[in-house]
Amino acid sequence: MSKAADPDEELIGRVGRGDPAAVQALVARKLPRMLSLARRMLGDPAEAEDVAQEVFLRVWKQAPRWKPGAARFDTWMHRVALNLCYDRLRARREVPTAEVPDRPDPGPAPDRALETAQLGDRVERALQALSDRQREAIVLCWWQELSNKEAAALMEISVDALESLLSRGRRALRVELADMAPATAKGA
Amino acid sequence: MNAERFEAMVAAYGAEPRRWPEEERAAALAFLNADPVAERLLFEARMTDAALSAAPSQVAGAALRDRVLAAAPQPRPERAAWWSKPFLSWGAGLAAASVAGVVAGSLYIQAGAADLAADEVLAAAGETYELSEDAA
Repeated sequence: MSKAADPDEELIGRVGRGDPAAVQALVARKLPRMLSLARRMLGDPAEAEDVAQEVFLRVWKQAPRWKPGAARFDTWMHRVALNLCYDRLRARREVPTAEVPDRPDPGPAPDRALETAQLGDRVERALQALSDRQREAIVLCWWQELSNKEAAALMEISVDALESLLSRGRRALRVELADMAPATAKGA
Repeated sequence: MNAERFEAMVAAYGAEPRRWPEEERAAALAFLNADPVAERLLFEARMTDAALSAAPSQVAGAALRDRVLAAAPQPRPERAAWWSKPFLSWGAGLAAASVAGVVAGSLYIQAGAADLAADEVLAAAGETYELSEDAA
């Protein structure tokens, strides 16, 4: 993990003192990021909102006593969000009826917007069909845009192991979406 | 950078150079420009990249933002420093009271001394008066 200066350090200090402008700035900077992470990991918009909100409850408690230098605040937030996601994924496995609900079949696709929505739906399903660790690796590197070292440190694995998870995950997605190859190629 | 490593890197991180490991990016780009095999290796990765880009995104709505902000810490009341306004006004009051006390005290002492002096004069005068009566 890089020991470079934490770009959020000054902002967190002000949040810890209850500075309203800093609170607003942190929410603007991190809420979309946490929501995206939870959405990709869980595939459910309502659960993603719950996780993002819970992450911020922890942030508000942690900010006044945050010690700079131990870890980047963004990395800590990712760790909290991932733990909350894994809690929910475990709960789903324990209660089989708590599977991600099927979305209603939208029927024929008369226009491009619906076609795009269907493609997105397929991709999200394929993503949810991956193993949790493969999905986590892809989410951290692709959507959260963490470096390979940051993602590997967060997952407590080596960079080689991260690359293995990424390769296997991407291959599984390709196989799952093979029939849509012409459609996905359009967006390339 | 060789074809084997380039293929492994692209399989893991995709076809966009900005996503490749920073320390290998320059060598990978040089390999891409120099070796015609590299472009072929990117093809499958581009398909997967396009699929990932098609995954729906979720926008943080106003209701969620408001819920998050509602639980945020409130500004802490500043602790009054000794030079702060309340302390200064209390201090000024205390100082004024002290000065007033000193002034009043000294006036009282002066008044007392004056009374004492007057009594002495009167007593002396009385003694003189009694003496003069006796003399008469």
